[in-house]
Amino acid sequence: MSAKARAIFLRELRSWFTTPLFYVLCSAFLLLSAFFFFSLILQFNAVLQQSSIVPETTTSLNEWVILPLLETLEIVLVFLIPVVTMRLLAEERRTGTFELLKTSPLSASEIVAGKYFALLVVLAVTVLLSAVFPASLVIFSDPEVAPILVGYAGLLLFAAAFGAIGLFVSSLCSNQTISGVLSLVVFLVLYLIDTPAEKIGGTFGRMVRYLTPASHTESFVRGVLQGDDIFYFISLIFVGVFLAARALEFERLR
Amino acid sequence: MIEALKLSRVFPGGTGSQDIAAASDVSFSIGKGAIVGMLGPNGAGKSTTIRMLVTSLLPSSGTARIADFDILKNAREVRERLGYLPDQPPLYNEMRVREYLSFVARVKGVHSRELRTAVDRVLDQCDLVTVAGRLCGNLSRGFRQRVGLAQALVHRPPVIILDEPTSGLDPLQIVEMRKLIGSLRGEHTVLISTHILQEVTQLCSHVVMLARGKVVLSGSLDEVTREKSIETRFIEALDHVG
Repeated sequence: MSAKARAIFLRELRSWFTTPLFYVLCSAFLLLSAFFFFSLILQFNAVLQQSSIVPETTTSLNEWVILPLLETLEIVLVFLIPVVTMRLLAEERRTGTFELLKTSPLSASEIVAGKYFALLVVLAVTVLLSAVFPASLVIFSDPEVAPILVGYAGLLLFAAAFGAIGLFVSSLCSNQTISGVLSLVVFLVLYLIDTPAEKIGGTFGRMVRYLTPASHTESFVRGVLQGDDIFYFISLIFVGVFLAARALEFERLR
Repeated sequence: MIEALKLSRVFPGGTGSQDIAAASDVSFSIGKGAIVGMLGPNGAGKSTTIRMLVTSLLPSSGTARIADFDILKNAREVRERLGYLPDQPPLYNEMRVREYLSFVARVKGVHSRELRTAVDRVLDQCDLVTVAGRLCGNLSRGFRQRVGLAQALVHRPPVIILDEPTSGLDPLQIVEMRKLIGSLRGEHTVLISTHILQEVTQLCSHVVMLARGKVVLSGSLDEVTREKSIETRFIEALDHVG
């Protein structure tokens, strides 16, 4: 990262950690994670009590608690990330500070890189804080650790990819609300199109399904690392960041 | 130092309306070290012209040269040599004044070794030492404007462009701001956009008058006011364009 991009990164990070928004979002994410985690634990307990054949505990904990928890957190992120990304560039336009960036000797890539890396830190901190719940299972019980680690790596990649798309949407909007709503719509379409695509079937269905993130997180939450899925998320990140940089460059040329 | 060459900017007028020419063939030249006032009523095209000069808005036609660099071909070089204060100072409210100026210095390319000296210099120059530790969001309008000027000066640019720098200030703040701008004479080439005639007579050596997007009068203040007062020349110029 260049010195100028680093300056943007540090300023953005400082802005996140000194304003209440980050703490509100983080608390909300943790609260929801806690709610889902304890609900799943209660559900698992009920299954254990009802079942005449006690399932093999290690596998069941992963299957009954970790896997659905990761799937649910993915959906929570679909709603949370637009709130994080909507202010990235739209806020700068609203307050007039974008004019400062625009007229400084900064390239669009430096602005986008600084902002995106700060966003990554914010999302990573938020996601990783929720790992306290699976970690408690590791301490007090005996689930398989590797699938938890792979699942969290998938969740981080998922957040990073949606963050990049959110950044691109924010680069197109001067209004935070519009940016947030538009990102949410894009995320929901991307996330939900998986099921109809599966039903359509055929080459077209398979093609659409390949483009949806949900089909690529399946293996992660099941604890399986696949190069194809990693490649998909990294491509999505590059596309989002690249388009955001191009959008800023285009704005300078208008 | 600043040379506008037939700068024009047309904005689309919307459905069924004619396009709006916010600036038409604006040409003028400003020598090194001068303080030049860009005068004109509201809607004369001052801000549009300034936004084109600072590379924030692309001209529909024409170009300009800032410190010998073309705004279209060498935009990055122009930005390196330019300090700009928009009509609303571009401050990050959650940052403290010193932090903010350090950030601006970094993005303007000041080397990390010289950062502290550069920030201390502008804090002192703009009389901001007492508020250096305060949050930008808690500053009065006068201090916000001064911080805005400090960010434009922090990388010692040869050219400074100020868009209505005294607008919204109280009389005392206006006097202080004008004193501050006056102190830049000689070291920097300064272009100020204003609609206050008194500001031009107090601060500027040259004047460029705009009306309806066109230059209606330009020259040294002495030439312009030799026979008639600036008020009379201004009204005559406005009458001339209808």
